Amino acid sequence: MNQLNRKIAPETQEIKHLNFPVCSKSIGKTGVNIYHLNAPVNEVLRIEFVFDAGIAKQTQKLIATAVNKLLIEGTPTRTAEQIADELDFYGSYLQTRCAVDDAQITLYCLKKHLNKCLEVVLDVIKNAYFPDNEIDIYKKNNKQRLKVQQQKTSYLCRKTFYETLFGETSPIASYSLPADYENFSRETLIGFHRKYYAENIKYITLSGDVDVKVIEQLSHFSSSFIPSQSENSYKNSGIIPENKTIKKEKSAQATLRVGTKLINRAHEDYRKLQLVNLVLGGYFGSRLMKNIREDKGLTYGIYSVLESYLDDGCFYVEADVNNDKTNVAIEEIYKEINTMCSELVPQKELSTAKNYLLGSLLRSIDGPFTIMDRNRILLDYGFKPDYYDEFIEIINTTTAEEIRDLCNKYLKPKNLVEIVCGG
Amino acid sequence: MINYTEFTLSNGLTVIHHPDPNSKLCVLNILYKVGSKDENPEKTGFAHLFEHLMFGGSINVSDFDNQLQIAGGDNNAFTSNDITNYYITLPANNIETAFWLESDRMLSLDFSQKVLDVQKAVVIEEFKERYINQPYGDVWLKLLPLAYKVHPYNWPTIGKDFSHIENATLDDVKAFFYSFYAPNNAILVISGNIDLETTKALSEKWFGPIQAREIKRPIYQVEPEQTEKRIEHVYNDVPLDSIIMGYHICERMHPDYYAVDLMTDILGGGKSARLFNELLKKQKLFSEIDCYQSGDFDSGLVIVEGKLIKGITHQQAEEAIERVLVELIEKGITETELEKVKNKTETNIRFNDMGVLNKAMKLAYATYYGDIELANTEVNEYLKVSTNDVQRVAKTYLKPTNCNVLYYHAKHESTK
Repeated sequence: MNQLNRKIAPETQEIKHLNFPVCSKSIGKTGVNIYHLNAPVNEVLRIEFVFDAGIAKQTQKLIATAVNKLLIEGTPTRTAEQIADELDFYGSYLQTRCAVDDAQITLYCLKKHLNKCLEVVLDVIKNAYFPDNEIDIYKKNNKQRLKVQQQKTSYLCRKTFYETLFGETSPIASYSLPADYENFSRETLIGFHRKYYAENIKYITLSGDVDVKVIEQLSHFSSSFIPSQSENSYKNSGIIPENKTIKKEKSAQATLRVGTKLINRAHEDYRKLQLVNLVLGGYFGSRLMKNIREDKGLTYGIYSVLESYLDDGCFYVEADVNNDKTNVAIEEIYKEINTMCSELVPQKELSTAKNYLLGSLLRSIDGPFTIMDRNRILLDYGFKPDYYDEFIEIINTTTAEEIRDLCNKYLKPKNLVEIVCGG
Repeated sequence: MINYTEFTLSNGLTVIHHPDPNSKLCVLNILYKVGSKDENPEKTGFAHLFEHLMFGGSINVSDFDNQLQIAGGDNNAFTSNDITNYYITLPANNIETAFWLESDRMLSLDFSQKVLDVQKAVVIEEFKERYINQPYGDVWLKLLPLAYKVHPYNWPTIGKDFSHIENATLDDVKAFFYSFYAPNNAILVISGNIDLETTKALSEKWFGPIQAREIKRPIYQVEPEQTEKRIEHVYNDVPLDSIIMGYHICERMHPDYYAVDLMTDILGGGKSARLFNELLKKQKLFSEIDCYQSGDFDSGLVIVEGKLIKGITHQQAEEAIERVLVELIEKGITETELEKVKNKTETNIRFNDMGVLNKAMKLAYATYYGDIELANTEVNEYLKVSTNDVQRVAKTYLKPTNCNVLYYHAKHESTK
């Protein structure tokens, strides 16, 4: 046997093709789109009921979130406890989620219990009743939770960052104060529910052990709704962000965010910008992580992030650091960005970042649920089915010059705002 | 059903192979049988600090992360009271890179002073970020010493105090490495799009030449049965009063374990669970309440924790929780209630057994527990539990003399 040379890396292959699994579509009797992805493992199903009921739709703070959370807290024929008991009895999970652009209910269940679960879910979505007692509990408990949040530098920094960038009225910056919990009534919730849940649905997704019968069951379910069609528009160009420092006494660390509004996923530069972001601070091998954590030990973690909403977007760098190190950290962040604006990324570093990015794309489509998550991006932004196959090509051909130019175009330090929250 | 093949190399390394031809990925998961319970009580937090050092360069490869990223891979690790687990996920045809990197750091680290200094600073920032700068972040730092008087579950994995991390020396690092990081103290799992022959060949090629080492595991004492309730008051700058109650339970491989686990689901924080419905919804004493078990290998804890509604005293909260527990002990549970938590457990297990990484970790844990078949039979153990079992374990473990209570007091009124 040859002597093993441990100094030489085994050969590796680049990712050249993805063959992204695009979901199929069925249309219910009333025109509701049902997207499905069949991967029969363990007889499990995930079903997402997606509504045009996101924060962008609310006219008063908290309403979209409160309606979403309280949907499962009672109908005229089922109390909150009965709903939970029935779903639990069939071993299923019901999750609610309210985001800026849409809101959803997700059912996780075994295929054998699907019919029973759908009966409860339909009742909940159509007939949510918003009992006063449940509203009171919701208000009281969430006010208490908010108090805990308000003690965290990370929460305060995040809130101020979005408010500074997008304005306090933007759905992206829709953070509530304890008083907001006093200001909404049962009638407002009922009104929002009627308008955005009871009759209309954006679409339904099925992933897991999806056979013809499952699709039929959901098709039948969907006929209680008609498809919703609406766009969210909340771009606010009138804001001039300023740096802010929030004092939080006795904090052991400060949270800082440095960032700006930016293009969203719909822009043609976005996929290349994902590579720029990755090199700067998007993974463990990034420049920020290497410099600020691995070389200087200033933080447990530092990341840069691109965030995309249907009508807006942003970029930021975030870290928790020692209170007296915030200036050093911010200086180093600018230093790294300036370097990327003026110098070419060395080939080796660039190809590592490309391989990592494509590897993580591969990791993100392992299993039916995450594949459906990716498919939803295509649906929501109206992208072509070959978007991710094209992604491979685009990333593989991006040059160091393009990285530098994109950095100059979008991430110039003079355009970035600094938010620091700490002691 | 997770199919697997298990074999052992001549140096004592246990290898498990699980093929998943539908995946485009491969996972290399390696579990070292060393956790914070193996630490010197004067040098706590070391197993976790060591986990950080494992990324700081090995004898032949200075840049672990970078080499893995070149192969399109990603990795992470975690440390518990019992074990330290490292995992790598990468495109299936690049799996050999993972063998190369993981075997080299088992062979030897390069023990750099600079890496040690930086990672000490990073871990201290982690300590602050997770345990100090979070409201209630120090709960485990307070509860564990109350509950454990002689067993090393006395401290959390992050350690008792910053100073233990600050004082770590390169000699400590070397001693720790050679005491615990060895093929005969590890479980290697390869899962994903790879065949058994390749797994065998690559394991032999990269891990085979590493010599077995003498494992120097300190002997620690079993926690004696607790005979009276212990109470501690904590005052901190948090917005709400909170109560945390910890009851000693059996060890992971004890036959009672499955009944205890189902019992926490019956009590738990879920929306159809008893504590939630009785105390949060009906009596409105809590804004949050939960019940779970710590998942340790040796005798762990069942935790009941809740945040009190303003105006409710700790005594009222504690009495209310105890009433719910006493009812369970005295009246037991219904068949329907039991079927419900069994169904939930079955769903949970089926959803968890998806994805190559989850399956790899499950096989590694089952092997660590001493019975790899558990990865497939665990669900049957839950299904065997009877209503009598649940009542019996409630009676055994949820008695007041077995309880450790933290009254966590909000020192200041922060916001209106």
